[in-house]
Amino acid sequence: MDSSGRICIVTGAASGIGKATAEALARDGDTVCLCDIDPKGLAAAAESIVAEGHFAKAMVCDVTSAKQVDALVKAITDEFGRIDVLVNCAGGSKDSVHLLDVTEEQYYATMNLNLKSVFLAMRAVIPVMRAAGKGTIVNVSSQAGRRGSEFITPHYSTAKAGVLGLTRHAAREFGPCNIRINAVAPGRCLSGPRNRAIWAERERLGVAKKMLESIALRRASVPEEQAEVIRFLCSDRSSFVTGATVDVNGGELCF
Amino acid sequence: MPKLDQKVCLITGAANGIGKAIAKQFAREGAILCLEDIDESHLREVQAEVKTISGQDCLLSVGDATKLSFIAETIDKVDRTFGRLDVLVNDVGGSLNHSIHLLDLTEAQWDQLLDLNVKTTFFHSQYAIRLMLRAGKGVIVNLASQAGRRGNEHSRPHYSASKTAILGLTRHMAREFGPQGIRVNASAPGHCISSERLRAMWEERERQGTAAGLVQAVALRRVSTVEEQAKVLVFLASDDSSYITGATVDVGGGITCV
Repeated sequence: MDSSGRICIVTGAASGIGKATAEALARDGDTVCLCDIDPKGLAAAAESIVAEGHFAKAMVCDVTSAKQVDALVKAITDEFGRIDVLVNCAGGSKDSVHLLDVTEEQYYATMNLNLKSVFLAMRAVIPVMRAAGKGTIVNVSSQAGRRGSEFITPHYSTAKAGVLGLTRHAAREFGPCNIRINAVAPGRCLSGPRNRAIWAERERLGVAKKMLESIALRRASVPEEQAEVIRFLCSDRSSFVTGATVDVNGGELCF
Repeated sequence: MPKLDQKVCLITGAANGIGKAIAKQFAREGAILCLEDIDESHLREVQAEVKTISGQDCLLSVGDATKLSFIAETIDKVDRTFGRLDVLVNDVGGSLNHSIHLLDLTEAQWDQLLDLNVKTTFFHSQYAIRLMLRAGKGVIVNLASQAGRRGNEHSRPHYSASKTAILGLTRHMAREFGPQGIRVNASAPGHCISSERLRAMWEERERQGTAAGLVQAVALRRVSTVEEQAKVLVFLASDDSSYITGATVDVGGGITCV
């Protein structure tokens, strides 16, 4: 086991990649603080981890609120005395809208959920890690932040690309403090009921096959595959990896 | 659960440095090994160390990795002995200590280095893929370098070119053979004490006071060990990276962030 009881925060842990990551870290023996805005999903996710005999704590938090993020980090630090791992999974895009039609409200909502949240969490957690002399952070970006040619959700692509720039900066700034910070850029992932419904619709419309043809592995991923990569980046197995973006897209986009 | 349990793995350049560390780490993870290098005596030392780690007598192939006849022989040996090849690690390569500027580089130096780094990777992959297609699955990991990412080395332009070429080859192979169940990725190591020559070089830099300047460019403010490079190879060779293909994992301690 390469973790030995670390204190981990996973945001967006009520579902999808965040939930799978929380489960993977808990199975390694870490204590995982699951954070999300969805109290029911969060409670269920934490309960299922505890039912397996591992350590999990559900903490409702709106990651777009500096106050709530700071309070969350303070509560965790007060209880556990340290934070070893932070995984920023909270994110997503609800609006399938073209650039010329994006409202200011939609812009802020997406940028706050996907980029500002990462900034707020790191700003709160890094001082705790620095005081301890070590820490690991993984930020979940997206293939959309790499590709730069999405037809819809341009504000999502923007935010996810921003996550990469923020990751690189923070890695270079805090590398000397022994804090490693990396990003993963997932490609297609059957990350939850909403996503699975989207794929089912694609299949109904006959466009799924064409989309899969652009993926070298000819399939979408499951959240566990994304979680394994995040787990790797949280562990000592990646001890010389920092400031990196690991593309987990089945060969849909290669850099 | 060992991450490479019963996986037949061919590692080129396994006699020294990162290749040797990969062989040992793979052995710890349950891999069945075939080790290839031109340096027989060091290769036999690695074979002995693997025996201590996992009790296995790994297969050896000694010869010049730039020669197609030798490559064919090696792959054939693996096929005859194990009936399959699960993982190919293209580690053979290096800079041949060519500290030469672009305008002074001779054709012979170009050819020699490109053959050592790119031709070896290309043709080992070609022969290996034929075996892997038969099985409907396989994994290839290519050792590139941060030099192939940065693009601004003062000397060894052909080394940078060769290491970037490996990335291009990686992406192509991933896209072409992904549908047939073969994953292909690269790692790009940064500064690593991978040989006695490099250790001596870093110690000299420290004596002269130039080491700090180089390490200053590394976010983690240090160089890596061969074990740190090898652990990333385990990740890329194993099912932990099952949805990763065509990718390059930077293992440079934050020296180049792309």
